[in-house]
This record gives sequence, structure tokens and C-alpha cells, in this order.
Amino acid sequence: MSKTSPSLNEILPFVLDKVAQRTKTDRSTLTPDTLLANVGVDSLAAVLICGHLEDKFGLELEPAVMFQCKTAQEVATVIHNLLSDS
Amino acid sequence: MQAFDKHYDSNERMIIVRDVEEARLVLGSQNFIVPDLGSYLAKLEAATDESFTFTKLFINVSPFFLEGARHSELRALAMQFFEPKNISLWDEFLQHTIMQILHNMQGKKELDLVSEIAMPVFLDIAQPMLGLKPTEPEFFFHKAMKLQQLVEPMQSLKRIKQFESDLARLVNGLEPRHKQLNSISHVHTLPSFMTMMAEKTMMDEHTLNAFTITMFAAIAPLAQTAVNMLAYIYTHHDGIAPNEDEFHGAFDIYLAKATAPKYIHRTALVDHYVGDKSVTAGKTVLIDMQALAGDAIPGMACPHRMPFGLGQHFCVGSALSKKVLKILVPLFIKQYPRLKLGQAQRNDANLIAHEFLSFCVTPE
Repeated sequence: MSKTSPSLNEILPFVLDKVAQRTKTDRSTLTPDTLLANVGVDSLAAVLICGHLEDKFGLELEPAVMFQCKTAQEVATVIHNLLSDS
Repeated sequence: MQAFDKHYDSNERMIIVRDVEEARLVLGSQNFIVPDLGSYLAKLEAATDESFTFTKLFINVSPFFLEGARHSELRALAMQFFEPKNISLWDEFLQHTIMQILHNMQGKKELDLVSEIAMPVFLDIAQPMLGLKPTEPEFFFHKAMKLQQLVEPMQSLKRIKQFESDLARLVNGLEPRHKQLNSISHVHTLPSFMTMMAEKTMMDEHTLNAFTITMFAAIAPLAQTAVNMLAYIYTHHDGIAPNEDEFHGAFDIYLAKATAPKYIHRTALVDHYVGDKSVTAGKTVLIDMQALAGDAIPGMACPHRMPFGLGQHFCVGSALSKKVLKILVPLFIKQYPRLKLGQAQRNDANLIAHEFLSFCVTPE
């Protein structure tokens, strides 16, 4: 049985969970289009969130992606594309 | 656009400075500090189950990551070895060793300047001068060189954990310090860096090892610059070397063009303007060293280039670097007045230093 990479719908909730956890933001207030800068994603949070994403999805992810991407949707898309390419 | 520009340009928490006057402002101001990696590691430890004992040990003896009294103390200690007066005691050693490096290249039909020049700078010059004797030489060489990448802003947790693992092995992987015997003159012995620091400080073995390793990592730019300089000279002179007088006359230009560090990294302490750019507190400022070298050409004065940085963190190894380059390059161009340039491979993965993985030439 071939292993398929997770879908965007599987990746996005995980990203939002970790953004909420590491910025201590109420998860219910976050949407895919919430601006990460507005919920306090600083360089420390970026490293920690990317650490979770790396462990979950088995890839290498530069924390800078949390600033190059404006929203969780964009981060999830980057991860999805990386997993699809590998 | 360079690889690191693409990496950092789109990051809103960073700005890249390419103007000389703006660079001077940043480097000369106490409102811009070196990355506080120590505090950052403490926060990472508090937020995770990770421990960064050896990385913190390393940071705490690296002037490159420190400010204030601790920085001044370590810098003053390091300068006791790296000051021009002490470095001049090593003149005979440097002359002999560099001549030997060049002698070893004679007769070879093809040369890779990375293995023929850069590696001997580490193994035959840096290691003896610092008093380093690794128990795992190959591991030490490859991993110690990578430590320069600790200055990269915003590294992943995975990479920081790898640094921790490597540092533990590096710090524990040195044979007990020994005096450096000046192999030219057996009459007297020159104290290595490690021996000098053992005599002048109360550092324990691990701390002393870490302090010495940080100096070794800091010499990576010298080895890289040496290759860069030769690559620049021969590339821009169609494979024909300038004569020695021409070289010395253009040395400052060559140095500015060849300097290995891609950028100098600072963090804004307070809200500030750099030129017309608003820099908020906490923002990362990267000074593009190649941009500072600009369009200068040999024969032009360039008093405002700063290949060794500026201010309190001016390169500790500048005297040694200039001495090695001013001995090595003239001897090399005398031995090889004409070279056919071959394949060259840059290390694009190194975001903080211009580094060749290989630079092949054929003597004509």
C-alpha cells in the first residue's frame, strides 16, 4: 500500500493548533486567514511551531517560513507542496 | 539576487543593509547588538524538554555572541594572543608553514584550492597555533567549521539540536592541551592559544576547550577568504596573476572583494531609523558585506570598506588574517603566474559565508 502525503485539510488544523499553543491564543479565534503577526508569532514561536511541524510531517522547515507566509493557510500550503514534491 | 537575499529579503523581521554609511551607523551604535543567542537558548529550553548545555557553554565563551562586560573580558583575553605583537612572534612559523603548503602543491597537474589551501590553513596553521589536538580529526574539522553558521538568524530547532550534539562531541574530543613547539627554532617554545589561556584564566577544561574551539571556528573565514581571494585574482585577470607589487597595491580591494562573511548580523535594541528604513526593536539587521565592497577596482582607494567589521566587535583575528594572506598570496602567484581555471563549486547552502566547495585550476 503506497503512503500518500497528507491533504491540505489535514495539515491546516495542525498548523492552527500549534500556532494557538505557542502563542497562547484561543484556538477558536483562529482562522486559516488570521494574520500570524497579529497573534504574536515572534521568532521564538516560529522556531517552536516549525519544530512541531517538522516532527509531525517529517520534513525540514526553516522558521523563516512563518514570516514569509502571512497566514496559517499559506504555511499549510507550503508544507503540502513540500510533501507532494518529496 | 543571492541565495541568502532570497532567504531573508521576504522576511519582515529582517532588513538587509547595503549602504556603507548605513552599515557604519549600525556597527558603530550601541543600539544594535550581536544576536543574544544565550537568552534565546534559555527560552527554548524553557519552552521545550531540550537541554542546550554545550551550546550555552560555547556561547558563553564566544565574543561573537556577547555584549557588555563578558564580551570585553573575553575579547581582551583573546587579543592577548591575536594582537599584532604576539602574532609577529609566529612569523617564522607562518613563513615556513606557508612555504611548505606551496611546496606540497608543486608538480601537481591539477589543483583544488580548497583542499590545497583552505584545509592546510586549518590543519597546519590554525590547529597548531591554537593548541588543538582533536581525538577525531576529521569529525572535528568538518563540524567545527560549521559552527560559524550559529550566527544565522532563526535556525530550526532540528539544527540547533544538531549543533548541541556536535558541540558535546567537539568539547569532549580534545587531547589535553600541549605547548606548541615552534618547529623552526627548537630553542624556544611559543605558547599556543590554549596554553596561554590556561595560564591566564581559571577556566576548567570544558570551558577552555570551548573557548579555543570558538577561535578555531572563527578562523573559518580566513581559510575561505584565502581561496576566494585567489579565485577573484585569477578570474579577474584572465588567469594571469598580477606581480607582487600590484598585489600589495590592490590588497585592500582584493580583501574587500574576497572577504568570506556574507553578512554581519545585528539585532535592534530600540526603535531606530537606518537610512530611510524604520527598524523596530527586536528586528534583525543583516549587513551585506559584498554590497559594501561595491564597484571598487584595483588601484582605487577604498578607505570605507570594512572587511573585518567595525566597532567593538572588530575582527579579533584581523592581524593574523592579513599576515597569512600577505605571505600566502604573493608566494602563490609567484609559483603560479598563469593558471587555467577549471570547475568551481560554491556552497550555496552556507547562508553566512562565501565558500567554495572546490575551485580547480591547472598550472600553465
